[in-house]
Amino acid sequence: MHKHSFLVLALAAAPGATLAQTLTLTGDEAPALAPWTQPASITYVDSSESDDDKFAIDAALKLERALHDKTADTVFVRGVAHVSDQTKKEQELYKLQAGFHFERKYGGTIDANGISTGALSVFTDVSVGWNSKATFPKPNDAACVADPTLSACGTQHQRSYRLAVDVQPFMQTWESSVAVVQNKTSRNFAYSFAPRLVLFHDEVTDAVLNDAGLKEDGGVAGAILSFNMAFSPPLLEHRLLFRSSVQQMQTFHRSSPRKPVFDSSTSLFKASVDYEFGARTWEQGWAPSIGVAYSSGEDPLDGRKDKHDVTVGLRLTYRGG
Amino acid sequence: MSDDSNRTSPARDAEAGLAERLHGMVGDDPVRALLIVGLDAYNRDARDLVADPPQDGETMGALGLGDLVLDHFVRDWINEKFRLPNGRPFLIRGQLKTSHKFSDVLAMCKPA
Repeated sequence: MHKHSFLVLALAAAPGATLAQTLTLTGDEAPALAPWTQPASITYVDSSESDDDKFAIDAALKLERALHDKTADTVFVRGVAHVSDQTKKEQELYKLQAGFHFERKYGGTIDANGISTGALSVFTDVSVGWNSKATFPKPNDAACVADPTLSACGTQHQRSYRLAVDVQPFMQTWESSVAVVQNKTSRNFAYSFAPRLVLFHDEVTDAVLNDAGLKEDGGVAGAILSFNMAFSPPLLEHRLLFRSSVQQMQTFHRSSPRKPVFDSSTSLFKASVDYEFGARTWEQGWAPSIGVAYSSGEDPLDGRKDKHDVTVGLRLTYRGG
Repeated sequence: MSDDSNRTSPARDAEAGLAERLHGMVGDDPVRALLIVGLDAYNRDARDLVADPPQDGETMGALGLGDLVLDHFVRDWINEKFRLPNGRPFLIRGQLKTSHKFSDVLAMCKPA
């Protein structure tokens, strides 16, 4: 389904003064700013299906601070909001997280100037979080067609706490950034990619009711493996920017009440392509582009059902210094 | 991709006293010289920064350094090589960006 939309996006990161600290705004809960990270966005959709104005907000704000002066390991807190009243895309998801971030390197060599070659760098985030997501009624649900309608036919909120270990490895050869960033006249291709592994346990504290009036409570534990990439070839006088991620989730344990709504194995694919006809989105300041974003699959942790979305839009991205 | 087969390796350059040669090229500023050597090693297939040293106003992105290389490797090197000896707080993730100018990064490497 195609909809025309205008997107206003913002990114910001402000270093602190004494003890190192950062404030980062992005569009999702990615641990750090990366070439494939979607910026925070406020979206207005002019839909052919509805006369109502429809808005969506995707934002994650992270405050991070070093444990002490002589380390890059940090403690962080993060708030996430994904809210939409768009037809068939209704969403209301909030998260609060707190955790520790650790940085280590493995292997490789270090020369006389301390320059590392061939090492595997691993960032690890360990966090505990609180989550709230809304379940919206559908007119054809059994709970809604019953007479009288059941209590499950209404907007319900599931709340849970979540423990997560988020591992982000990276090697120098995984990024060829020549011309990715600013060299608009270069004819070189450029790429950047990295995998990510998340181990999680999600335990419901406030359960929603299913169509049978039973609570969907209990815990789910599993792993999410994702592969993220950005790729930028030249086109005419400017550049195309492809961003994509493939995510596979596999559960190790599901409580019986959550099994019907939480598949043991799910996948999610996201991709976007933008034509950057002005400043690059990695430069400081405002950068315009026009593009298409596509997503397919499901993510039961975030309440996303299996579906396909296409958004076509003019994008105005801001990146702070 | 650019052909870097004619470039000498950063390790060999360093051992041959490249920093000292740069020291003479860029004025009486060994920190600037060493920073150029490091950025040249980490930008891999991009511009040869030793033969063509960066200007103060050029950004890390323009020098061929991407978000992840900066965050995972260059920042760590700057912390250990410059900020620790100078007694300055370590840079944490997200504090070294492609939009930073060479002069900004040079200031990060010098005593407060």
